Amino acid sequence: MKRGLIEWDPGELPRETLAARGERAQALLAAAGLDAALVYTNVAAPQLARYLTHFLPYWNEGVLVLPRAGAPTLFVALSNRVVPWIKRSAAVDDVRACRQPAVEAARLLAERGARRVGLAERGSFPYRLLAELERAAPAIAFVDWPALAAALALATDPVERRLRARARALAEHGLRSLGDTVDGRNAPQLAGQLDLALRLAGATDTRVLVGPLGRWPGIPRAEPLGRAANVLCEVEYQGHWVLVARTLGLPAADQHATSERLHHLCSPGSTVAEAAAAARGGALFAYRAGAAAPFVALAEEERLAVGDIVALVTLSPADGGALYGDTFAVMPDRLESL
Amino acid sequence: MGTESPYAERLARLRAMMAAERLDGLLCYGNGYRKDFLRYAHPAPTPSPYGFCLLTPEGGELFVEAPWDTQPAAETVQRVHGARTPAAVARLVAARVRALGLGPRLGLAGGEVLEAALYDTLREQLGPVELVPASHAVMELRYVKDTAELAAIRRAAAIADEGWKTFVRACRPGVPQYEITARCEGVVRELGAEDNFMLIASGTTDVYGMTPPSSRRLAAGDSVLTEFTPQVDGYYAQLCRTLTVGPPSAEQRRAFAIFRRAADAALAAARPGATAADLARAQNAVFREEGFGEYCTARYTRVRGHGLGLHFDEEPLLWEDVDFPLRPGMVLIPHPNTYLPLAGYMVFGDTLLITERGAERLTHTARILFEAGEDG
Repeated sequence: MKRGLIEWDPGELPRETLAARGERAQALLAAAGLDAALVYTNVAAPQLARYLTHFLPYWNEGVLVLPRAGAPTLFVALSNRVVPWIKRSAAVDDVRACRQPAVEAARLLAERGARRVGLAERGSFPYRLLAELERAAPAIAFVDWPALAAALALATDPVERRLRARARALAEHGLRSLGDTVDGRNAPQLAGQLDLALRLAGATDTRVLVGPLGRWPGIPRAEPLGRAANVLCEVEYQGHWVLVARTLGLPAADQHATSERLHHLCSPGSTVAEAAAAARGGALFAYRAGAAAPFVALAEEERLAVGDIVALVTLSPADGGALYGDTFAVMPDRLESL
Repeated sequence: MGTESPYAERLARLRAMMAAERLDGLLCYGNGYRKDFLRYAHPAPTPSPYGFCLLTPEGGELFVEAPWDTQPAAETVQRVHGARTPAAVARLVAARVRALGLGPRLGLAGGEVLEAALYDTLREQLGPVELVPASHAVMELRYVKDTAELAAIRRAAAIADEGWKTFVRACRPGVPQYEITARCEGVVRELGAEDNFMLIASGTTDVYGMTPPSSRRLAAGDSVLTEFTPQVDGYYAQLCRTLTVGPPSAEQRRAFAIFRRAADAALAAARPGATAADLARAQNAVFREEGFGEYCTARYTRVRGHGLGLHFDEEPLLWEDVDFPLRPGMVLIPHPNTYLPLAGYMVFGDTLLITERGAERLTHTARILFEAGEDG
């Protein structure tokens, strides 16, 4: 659940930027011959709706109706008393609190005479919602509409880049606040101190995993960590997530060497498997910043496509079991650090 | 799985349910939105963004996103499987169902949050095996908490009490809301909470509800309120309290007295056999007696309380039309949280365990209107 700062500052995310994103989405709808799109959102998978409106649910779920022309409508399973907060913190004027957002969205579309409606990333909708949609508006054909997610090109969107860079700076600040050594702390203590530093600095949400050297980190448990600890830190700034992973207690030179290797493992257009093969016998995992969840795991055969924001994490026995990870913009000629 | 496992009782109840419902296996799903059904079958936390636990009459297996399959298996599962994408995980699940010869009826709990990408693959790969909705049957088991569940909720309640002390200390004039929640989050993490559902509000008659924290700075005369809901081993406990920045005004004192009376009325009414509606009516009666009956409606309030467990907003919801009898072992929080024109929105409530004779309060913070900076 989100407990950090959620505010919309039009100074850093201009209303015009969000309007332009909406217009591009509407052009894609028109090109596909669709009357409208539905975008599903919940606390853990809000990214497409966030991209269009900056709406960040702190719990529960909702459905955004984006017509081919005109203003969007947001249906949320939240109290009507929260509607003024949503209107302050997101660029959407028509917000309707209800118990069944999908049903209400389908009814609205039916009233407006919609015949063919795209589901932005149909696979990310709970399947129960698909059944609700079909029951509530049997005359409407609901079809998969992956075009919006495919066209995001987050890496080349300057506003998106700037806000992710802010999240990246928060992550760096948080990790630096832990110092250079484990210093006898257990996993919950490290996680608590990191969480505090991140949220005091304005993080919207965090996810911190901690484990001993040589192991993938887990949910922090009160177990001894030894001289070094693997820390995976995901940080959100106003809907923009980054992933950074480090080994605390590793000599700075080793940390730097691991970082350098990660930078050079991957190149634009390479597959995850190709990058992993170069990872000195260790494992490399790649994630794409998201259509629904903040990061979506990439399969081995998938490529690091130009325009993507990707997170890469590696843990290699050749590095003594150290963990290293970071978030990059995939540009035509290189992977750029945020 | 020896009889020593703290989860033996739960697994036995699940398997008895499976037999009663003629289920050959039970698939419990969870994702980042809700993991409660997954955690019921597989209590150990997984960092995986989603996962299935497959329970059979003899054993259990976990299916998660790699690399989180490298986390150690816990007491309820013997094997952990991993794959990189949702479709690959769903194919693994289906392959194990086929290999184990499970069918023709496979229960699915938590299917309400199951994404279509996973469901479609599962459905396609399972062939003739029927996916039978089982959330309701599992929820019937979840209402009454077992020994291990109550132990986790008691620890969560203790962390809520400690967290409230931090909240009281952190509230000072000029401090932004997000700094208060940051300090509370840091403390509850250090104390071992996995998560914490926390909302906040500050102000007076301009406050109609709680939201995530903003950059609004506290001012003298504010009421500051929070729902504080730490999660330990999957289980939530909740504490609702209000404080004032500086001495309370006459309106704040009067409003709080009403909330306290309403919460006391719910506490007195909480016993086996009483219904969710009884607890809602007991609270609303106090507001009506005071001439504030209209503030018991959906325009000003959401609910008069709710169950607690692996979700922070479980059934039964305490509304006047919910005829749901309370049973020993249920955990819930009655809270008369609403807007009043006296001093704006206020919150007040404690986590209760329904016992054979009445109710035991699991959170132990003083039932008073606090003042910022006091010893919580």
